[in-house]
Amino acid sequence: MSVTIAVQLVVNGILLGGVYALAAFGLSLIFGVSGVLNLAHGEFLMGGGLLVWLAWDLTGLNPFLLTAMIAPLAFGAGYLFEKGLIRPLAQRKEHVRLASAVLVTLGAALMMEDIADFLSLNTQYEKSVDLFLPTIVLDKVYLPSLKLVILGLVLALIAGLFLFLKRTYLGLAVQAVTQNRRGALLNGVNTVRINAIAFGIGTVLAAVAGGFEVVDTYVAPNIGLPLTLKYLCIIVMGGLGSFAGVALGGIIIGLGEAIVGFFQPAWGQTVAFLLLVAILLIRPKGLFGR
Amino acid sequence: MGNHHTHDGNCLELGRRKFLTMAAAGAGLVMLPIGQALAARNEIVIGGTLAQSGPLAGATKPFVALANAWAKRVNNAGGIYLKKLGKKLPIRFIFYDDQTSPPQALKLYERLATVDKVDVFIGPFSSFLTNAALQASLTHHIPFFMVEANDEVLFEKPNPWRTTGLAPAKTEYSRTVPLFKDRADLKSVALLGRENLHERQSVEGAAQGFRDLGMQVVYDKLAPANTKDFSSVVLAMKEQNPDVVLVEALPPPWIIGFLKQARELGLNPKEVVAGHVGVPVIKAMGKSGNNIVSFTYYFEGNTPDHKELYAISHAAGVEPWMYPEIGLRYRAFRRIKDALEHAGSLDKEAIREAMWKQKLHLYGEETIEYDKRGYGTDIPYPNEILGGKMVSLWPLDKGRRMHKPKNGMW
Repeated sequence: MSVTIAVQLVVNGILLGGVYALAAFGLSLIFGVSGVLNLAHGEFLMGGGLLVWLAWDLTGLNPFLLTAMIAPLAFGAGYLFEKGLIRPLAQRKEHVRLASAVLVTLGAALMMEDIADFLSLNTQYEKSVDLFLPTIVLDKVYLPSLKLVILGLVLALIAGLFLFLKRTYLGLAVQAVTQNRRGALLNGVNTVRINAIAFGIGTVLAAVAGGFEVVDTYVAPNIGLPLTLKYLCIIVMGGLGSFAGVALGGIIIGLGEAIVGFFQPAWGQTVAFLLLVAILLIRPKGLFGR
Repeated sequence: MGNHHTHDGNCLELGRRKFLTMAAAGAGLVMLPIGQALAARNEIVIGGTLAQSGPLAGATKPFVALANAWAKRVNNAGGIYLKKLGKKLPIRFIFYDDQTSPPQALKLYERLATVDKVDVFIGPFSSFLTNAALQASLTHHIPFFMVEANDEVLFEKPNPWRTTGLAPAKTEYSRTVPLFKDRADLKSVALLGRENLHERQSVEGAAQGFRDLGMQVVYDKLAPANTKDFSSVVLAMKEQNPDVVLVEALPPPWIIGFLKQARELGLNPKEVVAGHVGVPVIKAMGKSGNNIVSFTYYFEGNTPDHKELYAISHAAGVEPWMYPEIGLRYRAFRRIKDALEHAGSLDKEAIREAMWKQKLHLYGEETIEYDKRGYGTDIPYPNEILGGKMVSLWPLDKGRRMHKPKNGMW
């Protein structure tokens, strides 16, 4: 393997891992705040991608602009999802609540897939936006402009999220609930509302990642659950509740897929799970788990 | 004795009456299903499933409308003539959504046999759904016309009730690869297939086809069905600098991911070949899809068969190039009609025999027939994306003149 190819593989892995990390952040935030493993997370990504495609097909507007426009809708969907499906489980015993939440979100995921499937009846099943930006070539290393733009937007979103969590009362309240729910409650934080807000923000991140996905590759009604599994790998590998861990986990999996896929594409998808097992054997709480 | 006789006689009389009554009732009972069957002979019922939801739905959306358009056309001409019945019968299709699920497909074919009482089966889309559905043909002895199905696994068990129109998957590119014959500028080829039996066999056949043209195969791999990031594959191909890149997958979004990333990462071969390209790929690639070579199961022409294919496609609201397998569906309709006409009745054994003996001439240049295993002769014809649609490159001499190499022009 030449040096150029090796550099290109690393670049590709980082670009790929960045998009993985964005959606995984949403899943991690929801889990950190509410303790719910939202198995419908990938479906919100799929839904976001489908909405962006639909709007693009109707209007021809820039898909990144359309992705920004669907963000409030995604927030509302996530907020209502928590209020309608997750909140009613709150009064149950811890282990019952966790098991119920997994079943409820899995059921919701399957239902959302079926709805998307049904709504696709009169259009093509797989949706992809035709957008191409000229590739930048630096000393034989190809830097796909589209992926760079996406990575830039991912970093901007993550920075925005970081600032929100560190600088705003609501963000601090989210962090407080993540660290100690009872303590936050005793300090006057409305933990019920914070749960819903975390679901809203997490869903926005998933839907935005879906917008990026439909530009970069494609979305289809059945992509949700496999993606959720991959994001779960990332957040478990990074350490549950750790944003730095999610970022690193995303990049490790992106790099792993890129390098293994180069030699043997058939193993590219399996590498996420192999890496997860390897890291958990060394650090059972994940890279940044406490 | 006399009394006895009389008694016997009376008994006999009563027995006769009883016997006649019972016989009449029995005959009525026996005749009832025959009557129902005769009533059913007022039409020919063809049943099957199509994935109108699930991963394969994108490839089969217009096929129900296509079948109904063809049925309407046949019925407007009075139906299909069945010699032994001495009349033409109209046809009717019954389709259910198998949701791209093999168990669901089998369940629905059972229903078609037992509830809808179809006369013949038309197959679902894909080998894996067909493999499940085929069991119904064995159980109920109903002729099964497979359509988009040609995996080896379908022919492992003997089943006299099924044939497929398709030739084996290894021949899928046998009309497309020769498009590049005598091209001195093409010396190497890279091939990628989706990890699935059909794609594996198809890519193997294509690789052999390129070797037969004197080209070197420099990359030949399969990637998992759920692959979305192809950047590593693209880089591995780039390192080999192939003159031709071929990617084979069904359903098509897999190909979209590969092509988009090949474009981004500067994989610029002289020729790009992609299997099963339809509207989703053309739409996703826009202008940069131009000159990508693919195939469909028909070529542009002006024969009565072509005119019928165009007419039913338009009635279904599509152009035949939009879905590569529309041509295969049309072939299946024609195979069914031909078998029914040769059987001359709705006797399933007669239809089965006629199906196997079929020699159906189509498009003025080919004959559909089956080998001993039940494989057919359908091999797709080359075409290319040009100006947002597919343009036929058949016959090959015309295709070679028309086709412009991609030469890295994304």
